[in-house]
Amino acid sequence: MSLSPPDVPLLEVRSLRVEFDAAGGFLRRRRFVAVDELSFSLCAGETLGLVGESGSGKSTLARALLRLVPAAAGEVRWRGENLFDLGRRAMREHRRAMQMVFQDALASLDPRMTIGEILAEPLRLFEPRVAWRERCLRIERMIERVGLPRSTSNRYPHELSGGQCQRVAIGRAMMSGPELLICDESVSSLDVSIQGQIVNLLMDLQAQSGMAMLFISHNLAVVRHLSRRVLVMYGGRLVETAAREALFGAPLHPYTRDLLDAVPSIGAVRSSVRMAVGEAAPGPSQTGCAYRWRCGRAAPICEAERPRLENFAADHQVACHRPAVLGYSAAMNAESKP
Amino acid sequence: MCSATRCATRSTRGTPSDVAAILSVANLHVTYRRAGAHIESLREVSLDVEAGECVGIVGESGSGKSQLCLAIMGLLPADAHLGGSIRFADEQWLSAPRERLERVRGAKLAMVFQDPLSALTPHLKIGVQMGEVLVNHRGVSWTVARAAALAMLSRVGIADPARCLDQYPHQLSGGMRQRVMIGMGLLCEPQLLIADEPTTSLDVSVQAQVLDLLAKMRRDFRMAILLVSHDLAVVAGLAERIIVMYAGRVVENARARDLFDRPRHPYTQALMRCAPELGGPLLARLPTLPGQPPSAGERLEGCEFAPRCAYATEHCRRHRPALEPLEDGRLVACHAARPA
Repeated sequence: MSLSPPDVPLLEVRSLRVEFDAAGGFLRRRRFVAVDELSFSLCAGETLGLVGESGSGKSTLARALLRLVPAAAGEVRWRGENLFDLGRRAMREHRRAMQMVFQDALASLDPRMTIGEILAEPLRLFEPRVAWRERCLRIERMIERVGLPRSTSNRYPHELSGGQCQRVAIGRAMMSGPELLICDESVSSLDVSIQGQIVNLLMDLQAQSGMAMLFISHNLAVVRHLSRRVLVMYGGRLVETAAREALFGAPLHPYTRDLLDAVPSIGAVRSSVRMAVGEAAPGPSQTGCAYRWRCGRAAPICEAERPRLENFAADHQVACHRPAVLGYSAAMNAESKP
Repeated sequence: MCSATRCATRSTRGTPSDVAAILSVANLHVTYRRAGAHIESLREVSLDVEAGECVGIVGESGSGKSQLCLAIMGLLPADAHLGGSIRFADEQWLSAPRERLERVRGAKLAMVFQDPLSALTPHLKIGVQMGEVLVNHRGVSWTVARAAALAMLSRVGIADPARCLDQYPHQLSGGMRQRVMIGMGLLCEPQLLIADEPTTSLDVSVQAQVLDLLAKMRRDFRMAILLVSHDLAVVAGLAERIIVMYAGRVVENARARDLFDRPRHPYTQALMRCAPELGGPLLARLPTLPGQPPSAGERLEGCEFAPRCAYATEHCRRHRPALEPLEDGRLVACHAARPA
């Protein structure tokens, strides 16, 4: 795991662009740009949070990293090697180190396979020479590691609860010993009491294995908990990236602020002034800032010129002509030592 | 539609105050017979909703929240066995004939579902679906209905209501569909709106808009709302009273402020502890509630929450606590919450 020198990031994304064909529908023969000019890097062992509303391109980004959807432009470098240059077989080898856990765990598990068989799949694919006995042993150990009772091995996905299914999906991803785990809304459909269990499991597994995580979620409180650094996406682009403390304590982009303000809270009664009602298409616009339609701070320049992602402070970048520099009202920096 | 075993005895419990309850559920049981086993989805549920009040119902999946909504709407599947009583607007609701239910449902009592895309008819334009409500319930002409639908769409914050009338559900965004659903529910100015997880499939920003809309509509129409969610924070902004459900039972029923200030049932406490808050401290581990809720067919002798409860004693495992009032008027079903 310490193969690469520390200055080469585990994963480096450069100007990634993903397009879909929007032909056939009422949008005649147009390309829909789901992800545009997206760049970021992820170091080994780091947890990166990714937030944004539905349609902002979070899941498309995750799929493009694993080459599950083709990219139109840009590079994804894994330990310095461009994944888009690889052939199918070489890519499959790389996927062993890059695994994904989806939102709907039950749908991501084959209903006709037992949990044991599901967990055996990664071994069958990536390590076909492993002997049967060894395979059983490793499955058994994984079932224990993800906190399931031993008897789960002979059961089918539909016999398990949502939280248990998600444990199986995480176990399957961990079977090949990944260096990067991409969690795409992996706790979003779970009840709060179960959500915490899964988040703790992910943190434990990460501490044990030293893998990096890209944690995609619309649940900002969970993202805040897990990630050291957070990316905020809007309309297919990054609008802000910062260390956790800066992002939640002093967000700069008006969208990030609006997003944080919109989170319902038990403690405080929220102010009821929020994002404008306008239903502007969340897709990227051709010119100007994509958020200007809903932004309370929009000015003429926001329509004329698209803001670029620029350094604002060390490890804090924002794509906004008029970032909200003044202090953020809510005291969200409360931190206590574990 | 429901083969109901009726008993009209009204329990006096479960009613913190008896002023003008528009909805009054007493000792409601819902049972299914599946593969030889009795599955109880609701047990001894009692609650009142006063006119104009917003009551939040909170619990995890399988706790019976949606079953309760459907039972109130009279929309449970035909093989559901109901016991107890549901009174809506001084009318015994469980024994009401089907035609009566259909007349009132939609007119005085409306429901907003979690998934607006599957709740809206895919092949009818919004204008037709909304107009139909008024044509059927009020007997107005299509021209009048269309005009009312147009006015309602702009009230619920649709930017271009005239265009929306001629669109199909799939052409709208999730937030717009939920606005349309809410508008449709409000067309006949109902006395009670049941909103079952109305924001669960929506983004936080859209969720905030929809919650604001519900609050505004409640003021405008002076209606009562039964707001169901698995997330305490969602109901916190709107509800005056909160009912916490676990395994088909009401475990706590308290004024929202009392509940958040000092939750008394261990399950409510766990729910509040488990939900990470944006402003909360950063912990090395998220607090969790160990274990799983009892499965549908399981019947426990004592308290259903005892297997997961940190305070559970042998007494809890043997004897089920009744939902009884505490000194501040709230109702709690827990032995530990009450001094012995």
